[in-house]
Amino acid sequence: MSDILVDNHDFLGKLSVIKNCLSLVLEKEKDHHKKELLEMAAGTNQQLIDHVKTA
Amino acid sequence: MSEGNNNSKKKILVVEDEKYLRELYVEMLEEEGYLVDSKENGEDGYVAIKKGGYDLVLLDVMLPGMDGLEILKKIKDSPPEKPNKNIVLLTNLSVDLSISKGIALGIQGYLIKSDLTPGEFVEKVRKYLK
Repeated sequence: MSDILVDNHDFLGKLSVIKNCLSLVLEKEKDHHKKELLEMAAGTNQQLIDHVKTA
Repeated sequence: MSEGNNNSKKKILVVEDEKYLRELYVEMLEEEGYLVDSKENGEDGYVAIKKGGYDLVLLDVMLPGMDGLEILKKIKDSPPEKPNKNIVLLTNLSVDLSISKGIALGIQGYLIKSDLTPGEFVEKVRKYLK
C-alpha cells in the first residue's frame, strides 16, 4: 500500500465542506433512521478532521 | 432573517476561494440581514479591502494569487481609503503560523473553518460585529 500525499490545509478545506453540508442536511432531516446515518457520516468526518489536525 | 435587528446596516466582505464555502457563508450572512460582498481570489480581495468601509472582512489565509497574509502586509503598508473595522482570518488549522503572523499584522481574530458548523460560524460573526 502506498501513502497518498495531500496538503493538509487543502484536505481540511474539503473536509470542512463535507462537515458544513452534513450539518445543514442534518438540521433539516426529520427521519430518525436517515438522521442516524447522517450523524454517523458527520462523526466519521469529524474523526478525519481531528486526525489531520494532529498529523 | 433570523433576528429582527439592525444587521442590514453592517457590511461584510468574504474572501474565500472554496466555492461552496463562499456561497454558503454569503447566503447565511445575507439571511441574517447583513450586506455581503464576496471575492474568490487574493487580487480581487485586496482591491475590495483596499477600498475599505467594511464592518467585517473574513479573509481566507490560503488564496490563489495573493494569499491572506500578503494582503494584510500590503494593507498595513498602505492603509485603505476607508478603514475596515474588523479583519478576521479564516483558516483550517488551529495550530497555524499564519494566525500569529496575522495578529502581528493587525487582525482582530481568526476562525477555524474546520471547527465550525454553519450555525456556529454565524454566531461567531455576530460576536465580531457587536
